[in-house]
Parts: sequence; C-alpha cells; structure tokens
Amino acid sequence: MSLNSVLLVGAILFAIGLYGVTIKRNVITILMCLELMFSGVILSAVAFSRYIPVEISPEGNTSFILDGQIFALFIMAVVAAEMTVGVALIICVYRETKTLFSSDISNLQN
Amino acid sequence: MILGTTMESNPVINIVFLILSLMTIIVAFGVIRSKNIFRAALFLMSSFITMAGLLILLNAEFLAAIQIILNIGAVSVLILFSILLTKNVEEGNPSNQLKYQFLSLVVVIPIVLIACISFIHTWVPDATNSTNMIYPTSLIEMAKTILQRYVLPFEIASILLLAAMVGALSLIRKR
Repeated sequence: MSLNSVLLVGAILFAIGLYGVTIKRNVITILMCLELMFSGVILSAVAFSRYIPVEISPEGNTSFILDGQIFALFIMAVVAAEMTVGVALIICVYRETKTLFSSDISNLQN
Repeated sequence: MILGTTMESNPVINIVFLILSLMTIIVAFGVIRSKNIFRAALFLMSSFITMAGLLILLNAEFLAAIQIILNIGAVSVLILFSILLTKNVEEGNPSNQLKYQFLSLVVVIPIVLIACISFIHTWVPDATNSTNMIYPTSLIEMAKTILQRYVLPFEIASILLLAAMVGALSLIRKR
C-alpha cells in the first residue's frame, strides 16, 4: 500500500465516474457518477496528506500538516451543497417537463 | 497511530487495501453498468462504505465518519428520494445509455492511461519512514488546523451550505 497504488485507485474511480457522466442519459445517474468522481478526488487528497505529511520549519523542526484532509472535508461540504441543489433542480425540471433524460432537457426557456 | 510507521511492511494492511480497492472499483462499475437506477443507487451506497474503509486505512478516521454520516446518511437518501419522487424510472430503462460510448472511451482511456503511467513512475519522498515520526491522531490535528489556519474557509463553507439549503427549498416550493 504505497502512495502510487492509492492514487491509482483514485484515478480509476475518477475515470469510471467520467465515463458514466458522459454516456448516461438519466440525470440522476449523472449525479451519481459525479459522486464517484468526487470520491476519487477525495481519496487522492487524503493519500497525499497521509504520505507527504511533513513540513520543515526554518529552525529545522518537522511537524505534520493535514491540509489534504482539510481539502477533502471542504470537498465533502461542497458536494453536499451541490447534491442538494442538483436534486432540487431535477425535481423542479421533472415537474415541468415530465422527463429525466438529459437529451430531452435541452430547452432552457419556457 | 499504530499504523503510522509500519504501513508499507505490514502484509495484512496490503491485503485489506487490495480487497477494499477491488471492491470499490467493482462497485463503481456496478453503478455505471446497471440498467436499474435503483440498483445503481444501492451500488453507490456500497461504494461509499468501501471508500470509508479506504479512508480508515489512510488514517483519516474523522473523514471516514463524515463520509458515512454525510454521504450514506444524507446524499444516498436524497438520491433514493429523488428516484422515488420521479417515478416510472425505477423499472429501469434500456435507453439509459447514450450511443456515443465510443467517443466517451476516446476521452476516458487516455486520461486513465496518462494518470496510471505518471503515478507509477512518480518518485515520492516517503516522509513517514525517513523521519521516524508517528502519525498524529487525525481528529486533534484536524481541529487545530481547521480552527487556526483555515477558519475563514470553514465559515465560508457553512455559509455555502446555508445558501444551498435555502436555494433548494425555494426551488422546490410549489407556487
């Protein structure tokens, strides 16, 4: 279990999510695949924070920094906000057009 | 943590990491391959669970707890509710996929190939082994970091969550 292997898993998750986002027609499934992409990014950030955690001060002392985990925390907060607004938009659009397929929701007016 | 300095040499952790990462990838494939959207949501929930396991292996216990509470408790329930509210998709639809799969693969495969090659060939200084320090308990260090260095983004994140909640409610309100 090295940094490279964890980053590999994150990249594969990101690629699977990107594939799903580009091929799916259903909007809810597109949101799920976005979640997969965010999972890959969170995994990479935490792995960097775990394996390169040391900063060296000018006095020569070493201390740990956890910036990657903090970034992952903020990513999770933004994902929660995005999912809330996304699901609200989906239900709003479904109420108007009675469809969930992204190819049918191409009209932003009316 | 105990895992801190002996992670690379511990075979049990390697095996657990292998199993968890394989499960995560298989379950992620299940999300994009299943025709039934309800099953895809359940696959997504299990991918969150295996992600929480991976985060625990990476000494991020607090993030794993947040992942379980936030993603499995809130986001998955939100997705399931949206599936049930927009009914007649739960039987699954054979036209759930577009026909441009080849174009999508043309984009995705180079990305994952470049990422794999660069990650395999990157040399990383392994700070945890060289300095012989023990990785800190992540919750205490995270509290110090988030309340000293990152106070302003923390507050902005709370305002963002509030704005998202108000925006979602005003979007979904019946007029």
